[in-house]
Amino acid sequence: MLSSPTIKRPVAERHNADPLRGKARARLGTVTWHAVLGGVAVLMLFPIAWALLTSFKPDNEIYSLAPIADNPTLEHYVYAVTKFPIALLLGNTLIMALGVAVGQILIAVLAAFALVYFRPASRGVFTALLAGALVVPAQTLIIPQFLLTARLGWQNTDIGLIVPQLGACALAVLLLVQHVQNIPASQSNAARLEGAQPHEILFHIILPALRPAISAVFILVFISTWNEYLWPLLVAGRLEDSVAQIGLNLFMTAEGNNYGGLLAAAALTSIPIVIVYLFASRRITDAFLNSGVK
Amino acid sequence: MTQTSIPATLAPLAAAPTSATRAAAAAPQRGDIRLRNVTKKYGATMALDDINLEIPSGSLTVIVGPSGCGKWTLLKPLSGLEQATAGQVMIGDNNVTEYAVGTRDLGMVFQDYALYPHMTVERNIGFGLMLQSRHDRSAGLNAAIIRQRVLEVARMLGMEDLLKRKPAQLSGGQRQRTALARAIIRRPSVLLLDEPLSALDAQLRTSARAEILRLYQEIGSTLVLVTHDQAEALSMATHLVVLKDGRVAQSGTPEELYQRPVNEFVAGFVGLPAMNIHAVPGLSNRVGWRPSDGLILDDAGSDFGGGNMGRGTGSAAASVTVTGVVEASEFTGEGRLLLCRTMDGDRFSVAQPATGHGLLPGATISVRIPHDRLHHFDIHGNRTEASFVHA
Repeated sequence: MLSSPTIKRPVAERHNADPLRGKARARLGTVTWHAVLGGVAVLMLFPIAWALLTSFKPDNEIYSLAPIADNPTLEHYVYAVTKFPIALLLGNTLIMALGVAVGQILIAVLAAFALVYFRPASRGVFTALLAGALVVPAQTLIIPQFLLTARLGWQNTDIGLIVPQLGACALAVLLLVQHVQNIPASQSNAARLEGAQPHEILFHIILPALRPAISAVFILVFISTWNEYLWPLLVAGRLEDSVAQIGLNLFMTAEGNNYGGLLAAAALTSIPIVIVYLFASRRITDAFLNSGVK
Repeated sequence: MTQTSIPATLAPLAAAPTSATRAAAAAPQRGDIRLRNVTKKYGATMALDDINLEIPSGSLTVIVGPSGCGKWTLLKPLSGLEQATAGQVMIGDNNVTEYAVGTRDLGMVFQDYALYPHMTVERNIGFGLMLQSRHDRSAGLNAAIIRQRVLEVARMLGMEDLLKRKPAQLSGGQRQRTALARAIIRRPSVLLLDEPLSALDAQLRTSARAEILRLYQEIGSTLVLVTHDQAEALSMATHLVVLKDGRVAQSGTPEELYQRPVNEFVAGFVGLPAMNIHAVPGLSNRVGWRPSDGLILDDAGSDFGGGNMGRGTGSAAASVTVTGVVEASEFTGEGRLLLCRTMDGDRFSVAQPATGHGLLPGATISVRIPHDRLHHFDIHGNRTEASFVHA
């Protein structure tokens, strides 16, 4: 070692120089990325923050460009709670969102299990159809679905709100298929050898392993159904049968443009979904990032 | 079969009874397995090609072969996880070919152990019995009996204190024991083990191997163990089956396969270090010899001039001498393994006892092999007894 310093030196220098430059480059990259992401976050959060701030402004300040009101007020909230049927609408929304989420999970779990476990010959066709269903815009199905619901007499009913939306379960099925596939086949094979019937394998082996994925899909469907506007607008014509998103229209039509009341009511109807998200965000990211099995 | 509670003092593992004595001891031959013309095709791929196999009741049969030879595939029609494309599977007196999976009176340990991750060890082991109690009320199983039986097998495997744990909280060896316990709790007459040691590190493997042998002696079931490790196969088996390309290359006792391999493949596959197989100038046959059967000559090559390999004359008529150059030398503990090459480029290896004088790489080496230690193979690679047929 001692006898060969001249040979070692350049090697050592090269080794030292590269990581430094690499590290600096990496840091620059990180800074750039954070700047981009931060910018996007601001763009997305700004309207929400502005709406929230505006809901505390008195009517005469609604259009003011100052972010914080000179005389902040809760009057819009009082109005939204007292004059606006918020409890009824939130209740309807909750029933719809829960019904759709539970229904889609039921369908998706059974479909995913069947597709993976029984490996039907038509598996490829089914998967292709499901993927195809994802690219069909919901709007194109509105007319046939509306006619169907009308003929069945489901207008202004919870069933009318829920059942047609169960059809949009392609994403849930495809996500759960992925998760079922990730459960080692040896587990269900071991259960088969112990005499387990398919429904027992589903209940004892697959469902427990699928729990995190199910809750993630449940929350996704719940949130998107909660925010659904178009279908309730068509099916539930009467306000008392409708949901919060439709109810918000009242502020625009019946009362003129009552922006304060609208924004206060919007803030209130968002609270449940924000709470759900706060509790579940870890699960959602987990389910999407590591869709593997531990 | 009744579950006998064996005291802690067990017979030495090395003295495992032979398949014959065990088969005679077992009352009815309910653990006999016979495969008749079993064929399994996946599309155009022939995974199992006309397998005919008799596995004696109470034997520890090891199925061994290189990867892709169909070892795992063979367990599928046997266990019922998949149906054979053609052929019959008999277990005991029953033709189980058409039996539904789970009704064949067998247990299985999977390569990855396939423990149910959300269940405790206790529930993992008792799962099969729990199902049985639900399917068949007349089986007389209730929670208390199941708990009792779980405790019994847990005690047998020395894992009573692990029952409340989840699989994630277990070490590799403990997982393996859980899988074993789960496979034997229903007291099956046949126990299938798919590469049960491959997930363990080298040190654990030895103790896990002893554990399996001990269990084998206790439960009296037929054990069918699949492995790619021929050393493991040779040391554990009472009955050995070598598979190649979906066919049975040879089956018999480990001694038979080691001493009388039917072809060059089995000869080269069974035994470590592998058998040397050469073409011999002047002979139409190829000869094989075990590295431990070669005698390194003191005065390299002096006895037999000319050629790398030649038949001895005179007093040494009944032997073959191989000459070559040492390329590398591996320390084995008891001595060294010399990796050599003949002038023709054939590789061979020979064991050198610790007492012999050291041969360094580059040295010339001559090895004499007594004729009774030679294996002869014809041009198709099949064993032949017609030794020293001149070309």
